[in-house]
Amino acid sequence: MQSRTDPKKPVPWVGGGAGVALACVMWAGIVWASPSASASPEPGWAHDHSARGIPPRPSGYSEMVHTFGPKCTDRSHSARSLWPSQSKPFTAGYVNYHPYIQRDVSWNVRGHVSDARKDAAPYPGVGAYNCRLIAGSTSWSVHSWGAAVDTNWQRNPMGQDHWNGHGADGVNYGTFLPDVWRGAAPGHHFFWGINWSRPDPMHFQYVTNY
Amino acid sequence: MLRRSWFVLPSTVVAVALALAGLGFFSGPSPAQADGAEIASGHRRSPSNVTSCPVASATVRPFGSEAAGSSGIVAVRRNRLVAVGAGGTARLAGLPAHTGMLRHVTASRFGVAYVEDRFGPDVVVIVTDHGTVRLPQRAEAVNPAWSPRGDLAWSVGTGLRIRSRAGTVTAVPGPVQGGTVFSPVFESPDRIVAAVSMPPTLAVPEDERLNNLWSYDRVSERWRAATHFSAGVDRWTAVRTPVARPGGVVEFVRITGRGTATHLPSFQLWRLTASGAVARLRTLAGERYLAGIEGGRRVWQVPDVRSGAFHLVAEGPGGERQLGCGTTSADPLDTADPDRRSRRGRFAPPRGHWPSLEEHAGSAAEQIPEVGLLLGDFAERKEAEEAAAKMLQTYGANAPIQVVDSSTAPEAILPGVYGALMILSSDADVMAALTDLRQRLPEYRDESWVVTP
Repeated sequence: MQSRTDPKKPVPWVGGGAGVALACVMWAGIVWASPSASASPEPGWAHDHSARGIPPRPSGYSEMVHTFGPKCTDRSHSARSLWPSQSKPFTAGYVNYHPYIQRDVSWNVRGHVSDARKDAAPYPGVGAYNCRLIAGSTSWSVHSWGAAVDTNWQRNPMGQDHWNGHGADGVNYGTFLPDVWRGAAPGHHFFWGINWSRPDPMHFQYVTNY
Repeated sequence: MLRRSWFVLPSTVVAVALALAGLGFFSGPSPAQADGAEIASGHRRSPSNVTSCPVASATVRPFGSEAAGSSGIVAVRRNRLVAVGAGGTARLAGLPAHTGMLRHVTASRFGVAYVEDRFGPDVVVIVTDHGTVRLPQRAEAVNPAWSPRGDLAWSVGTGLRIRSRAGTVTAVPGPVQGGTVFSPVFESPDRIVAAVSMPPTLAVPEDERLNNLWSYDRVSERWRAATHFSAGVDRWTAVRTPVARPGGVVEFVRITGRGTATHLPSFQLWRLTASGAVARLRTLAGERYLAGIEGGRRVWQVPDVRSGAFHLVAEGPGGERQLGCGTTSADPLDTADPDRRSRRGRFAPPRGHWPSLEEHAGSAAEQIPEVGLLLGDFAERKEAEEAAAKMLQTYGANAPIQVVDSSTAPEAILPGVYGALMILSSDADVMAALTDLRQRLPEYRDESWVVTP
């Protein structure tokens, strides 16, 4: 088992005894404010780009159902991980999704954010499983299979044609988060909803053509 | 025998009418016809009991005014228009060429109208015996519907468009700022009933949250709420596929569910009368959407959840009967929506190296992530210890099981609570392992998770 307790946003060095004390207080404050949200993988963390870490991504409805099974079942949300700023800034919360993408979300994407020391990049809200119809449609949201994750939705609403990368700390992280979801080749293989005709920048799903 | 001539001549119209009668479009379902599959009355049998989709047995051109008004259900099947009746399925020939995906088709004695769905703005196509009219839209177009006097209404999301029989198009803004209007139907020539989806909120940023039916009076040009359903953050209610019946009655499917629920939501058939009374008629056995009314009887679109095909099922005195396959107002699942089709746009993942990510790729050595099954969360450590003890009893004393908290499994469990964690082997099938755990320890069924500690 791994122990990931340190955090770790670098604390600015102030200098002198008072500076050290101040730095300690600030460090403690950061840890207190975002306890597990700022957890980081152990040294040696690396992407798992094996077939387990990045399993085949289905295309179209029937492949999605073949891969993930029926919608809105207890299987659809039985994997989870803890995400920083899930519902409030610097307040961690669970995000539930399908076990098929567990290694990719929990290890590859979540681990990547920690490893890059960018736990402040997520901004509320962050969520995945949600049993709902697509608005105005008889088709079901990919969230109903636990195969899609929304992140930073309060700053990236549906219909917005660009990504707002400001994280919980107000820093602009650019497209760091979308880049992690999509990933470099062979990538983490999440399809970004900003590509749709009606852009959905918060939305990353593990299926295409649906 | 029907489709040889490009133009619909009077004799062809007669031939089409005879052919459609032969397919059962005029006579209604017949028990003697072998094509339809019986579904038990009371709607208790699942859609999977419906037979597979029959192959189109003929080709027809039901665009003459006599034929189109009586052609049963005109539907979209695998991006083609088909006429579906108790006697079989026939392909519609003579349609204009199209490059998009066909969906949302409506037929009346005035003709056939449908949406040619494309990436971005769509085209509404109207085919009558006077020819074809193509109406490019500036937005997504959905759900065309004929009025009793030949006007056509459809939705463009923020509002409706109404085309008079003479060809004038009027824009009607929706009743709710930021909301979406869809599925208009003509309750009468001057009154339209449409579903309205409330705008997203910070808590529910996308997908369905709350729908109601609204009524639009074309004379006063005013909207009025016709239903008053409510919803919360988790609890949602949707209205789908309203259809008009004689006497100003509109029937529709109401769906209620919870976002966090792990079971399908409830499907119900509701009725709105001309006087404004709203009532639930019955709870439906499963997912289905109204396709239309044929011979005074409801026809349903019932999805096959595996294949994505929709079965058209007609109600009848002896139960239900499958007519064929296709969609009228439902969104096809067996063809990729052009608006969501995977393409190599500027935001699609690039090929090759991506240095900005590789700098955070960690060590060069590939590390296999640990995966485990967690029972939790428990408010007290003692509860987690009891759960761990049960796991050890079940899986053996050597099983890698221990009590964890946020200091030892920081990405799997919140601070202040505890869990019992069993690490799985690196090649484990996590779904099979979770299913096995839930069978062995059913008391923890709702508290068991796949995690990376």
